[in-house]
Amino acid sequence: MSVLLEIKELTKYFGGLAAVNNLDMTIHEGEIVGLMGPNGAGKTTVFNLITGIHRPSKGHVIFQDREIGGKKPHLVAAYGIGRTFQFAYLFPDFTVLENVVASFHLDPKCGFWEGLLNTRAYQRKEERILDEAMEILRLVGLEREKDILGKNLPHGPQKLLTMARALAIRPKLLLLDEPIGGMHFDEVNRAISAIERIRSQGTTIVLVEHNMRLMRLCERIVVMDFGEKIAEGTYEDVKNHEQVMRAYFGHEYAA
Amino acid sequence: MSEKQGKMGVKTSKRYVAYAILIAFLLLLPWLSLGGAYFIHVCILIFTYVIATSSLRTIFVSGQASIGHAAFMGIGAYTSALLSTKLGWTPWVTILLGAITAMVVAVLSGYLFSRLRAIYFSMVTAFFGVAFEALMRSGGEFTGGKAGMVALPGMGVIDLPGLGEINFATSKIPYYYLLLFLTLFTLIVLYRIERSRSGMNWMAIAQSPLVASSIGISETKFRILAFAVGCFFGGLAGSVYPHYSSVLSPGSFSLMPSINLVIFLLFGGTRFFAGPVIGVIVLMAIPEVFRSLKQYAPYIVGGIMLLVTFWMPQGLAGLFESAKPWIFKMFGKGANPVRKEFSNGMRK
Repeated sequence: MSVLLEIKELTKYFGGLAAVNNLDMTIHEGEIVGLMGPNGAGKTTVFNLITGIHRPSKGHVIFQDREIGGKKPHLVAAYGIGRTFQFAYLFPDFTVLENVVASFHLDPKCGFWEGLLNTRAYQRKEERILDEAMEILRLVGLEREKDILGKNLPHGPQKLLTMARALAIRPKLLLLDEPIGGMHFDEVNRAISAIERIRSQGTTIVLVEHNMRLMRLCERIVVMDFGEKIAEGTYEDVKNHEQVMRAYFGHEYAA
Repeated sequence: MSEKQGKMGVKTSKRYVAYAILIAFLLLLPWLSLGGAYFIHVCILIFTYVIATSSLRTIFVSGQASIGHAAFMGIGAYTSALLSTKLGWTPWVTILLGAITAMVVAVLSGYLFSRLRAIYFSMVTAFFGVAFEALMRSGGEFTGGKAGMVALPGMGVIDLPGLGEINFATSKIPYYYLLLFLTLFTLIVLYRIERSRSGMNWMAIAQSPLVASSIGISETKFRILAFAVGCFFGGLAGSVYPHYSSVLSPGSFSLMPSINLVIFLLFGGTRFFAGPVIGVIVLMAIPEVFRSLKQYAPYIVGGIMLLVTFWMPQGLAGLFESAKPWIFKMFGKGANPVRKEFSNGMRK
């Protein structure tokens, strides 16, 4: 398996606080990797550093042999990294389908003049995009909700929609930030089967989550605490790791 | 699916018939003897403001509430006026150059402004407007200073194949047709852009710059694009008018006219393409209808604005849109997809 993303000595200071400290991490093509840790461990900051929302204070983010640390978010998306956010950020005044269609912006030849003149080629392309968007909605199981406005969806489907949106850019790497956070039981099942379907299509996934059921899907888990990596390994390795227990439950509870 | 498309087709062709009737009506309007030259003058003003307000709406659609749009009209106006008087070029060319100059200034300033969002963007565009007016006032001989410019050349006499000679100096009617043509051109272009992917990107940025960037939309690029397109047509509206009225004063492009454009826009409804058209027509008509109360017109407009803000935050067009289900119910047409007009995403 070739290396898709390599993070070297990644460090981010907010004022005097090191939110991420000397983090090393490697993601291989086709993998599904979990990133976990207590609140404030720096998981989301890692995502934000990869996708260019924050600029690293130190260290490197290398995606397909290209340094992307500190690049603008829209460029990072163009390189092939899709992401969702911890909260269900979406386009509230677009319908579900429009949310996904809008996310095909990176599809080649979306020119200003073609759109203005509404050429044949442009129309055909938009029709194809419409079909592909429906396909993605079927993948995450939202095809029945396609005409509902984003803001009128319940929280669970909203999160599924953000996943669909990230998929629309045809990412080589998909970063999911708490994909099932705040969902109720049925929605969790829906989300997990969606993630499994995405995975079976060969997309590399990194996900931040606390839910152990989702973590069991991961081939590898990286555990962070106070911005540093404290453990790495399979689900079974990490589950009984002493430092992980201590990070989550405190000193008294550690074995 | 195909049945649905068929229905859509019928709806679209009905719509085209309605547009054809409307345009035919507008073409015949000057010959209906409705108040003579003054009526034509008001129509020309309305056309100018429709171009200006619709182009301002384009900028608003991308999430940029500009309060300096009149300054870009002014850039068009002064460019066209200066080129036609100092260099003696024909207004037919300088009008276009005025619009292009406004667009170029918009690209340059828009690059700086695009770092600012929301109220900070509005403030800096307002300052830009104030600075522009001050600059024109202090221009001395060159810009005519406080008094502005007078005796600007009109559109002259042109020879159109099939229509013969058209003399712009003897009547207002040729200007009516010129403005009508420019208004239709502007509306069609703006509508097409808004319904294309560029328009979708503008709306995406307006709703959430963060999400838009995560799917690869460059906020800077598309905000500048919206600003440039809006200011091009703003400049166009501005550059035609002085050749019609033959005078130009810096006060026409200060902060207050910019705010007036925003009022037209908010009154009509920002979310609807027809919003600015409705807003301009109604608000321009009010002072004309209450002519005997002319000195109270600002108070009437102010009062109406308060009502609009509290009772119909979507503007007049929004009021009509939300009343649609009621209207359809009354005529027994059944459920109507109200929100079709709301989001622009899909073309038919």
